[in-house]
Amino acid sequence: MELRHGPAAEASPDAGLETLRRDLGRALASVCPPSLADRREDLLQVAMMRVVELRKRDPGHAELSPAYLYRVAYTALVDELRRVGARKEVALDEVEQAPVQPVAPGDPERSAGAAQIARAVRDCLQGLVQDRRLAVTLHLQGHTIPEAAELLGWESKRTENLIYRGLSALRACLTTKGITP
Amino acid sequence: MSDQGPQDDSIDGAGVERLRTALRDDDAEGTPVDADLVWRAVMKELPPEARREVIERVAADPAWARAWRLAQAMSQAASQAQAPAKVLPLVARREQRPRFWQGRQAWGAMAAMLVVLVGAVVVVRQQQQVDPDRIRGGTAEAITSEVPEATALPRDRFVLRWSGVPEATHWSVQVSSEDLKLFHRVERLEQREYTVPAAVLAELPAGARILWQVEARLPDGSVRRGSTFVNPLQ
Repeated sequence: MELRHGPAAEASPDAGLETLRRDLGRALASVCPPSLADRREDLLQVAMMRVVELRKRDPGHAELSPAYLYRVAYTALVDELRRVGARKEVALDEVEQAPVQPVAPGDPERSAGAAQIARAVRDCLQGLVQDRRLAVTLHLQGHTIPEAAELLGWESKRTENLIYRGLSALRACLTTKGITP
Repeated sequence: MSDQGPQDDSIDGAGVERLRTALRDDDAEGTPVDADLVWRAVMKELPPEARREVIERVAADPAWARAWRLAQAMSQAASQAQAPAKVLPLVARREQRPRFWQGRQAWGAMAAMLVVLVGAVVVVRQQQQVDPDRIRGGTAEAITSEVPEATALPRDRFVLRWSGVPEATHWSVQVSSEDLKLFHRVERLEQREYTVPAAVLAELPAGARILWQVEARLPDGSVRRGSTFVNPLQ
């Protein structure tokens, strides 16, 4: 059996944990689909525990920068999102074998509609020429034109043009699938 | 072209927002994400070509898109959290403490807020008086606490028990206080029971709420993690 723990007295209040927790909560709220809304507290707690564990493991944890801690928390969240998604699939398999209805969080109708639109968007994006696809993808992820241009390594004017033309092509494609943006 | 606004054959702002909402609400699983790669792309630590490759994955895969949005939100928050530390060295920060909201006193106050926040969450959970396993997805919850959530446990016999995951070969348990000042972890347990050493709890006052979480190690090396359970200290 292996043990490790840190005394409470060592932890200083300047850890910024509350800020990190708040930021994680906000990020989750803005990113998580409604079907995972009832898991947010668990996701948050796991990510925070990962950060605290790292700080306890590292004797020089006071030197860890916020950027590094946020990165650790982010990685933990992505892992957890994956784990939760996989478990949801397992649960659905079990439901197929046994006639028990699960409690479905969120609005199933809304989720189904979102899934259909999202699948159509992904399909249509794949039909765009590459540069337009990349520019429109970042635009749909919420990036401004200057941000998208910087991420792609292109001029702003070019990126703006690609987004504009790409959205036109996306609209045409979605219309053929019965979706009017 | 660039000075033109959206026209009939494009998608207006409201339409773009609807698509963004649909993409966010989509809970399709997607493929495993290389979180580190996505983070470095968002932070522009990768060269443009490599970033574009990541964005290709984001375009095609819902899990990568979700990870991208999360990285975007977290990196922005990190840069805001990082900014004060970059600006001033420690000595200067001490001198300017009264004018600097990120000072130690402010952090202390925020830590206190965290205690209140987490406490509120716990109280709400207790007031719900429903089976938390049902709330969180029924059969997906494989590890169940065998200690009633409202039960206060004595400091010298803080015994945690759980059930589920019969195929597990051994267990890990993480114990923390609400403010995360206490963090204790034990690995390779062979029983579905663990007594938290009294010394670990020595610094905590009576009534402190203890959060604990169990991980099951499976024969194939994978890990199944349970929910976070809460029991107060007598």
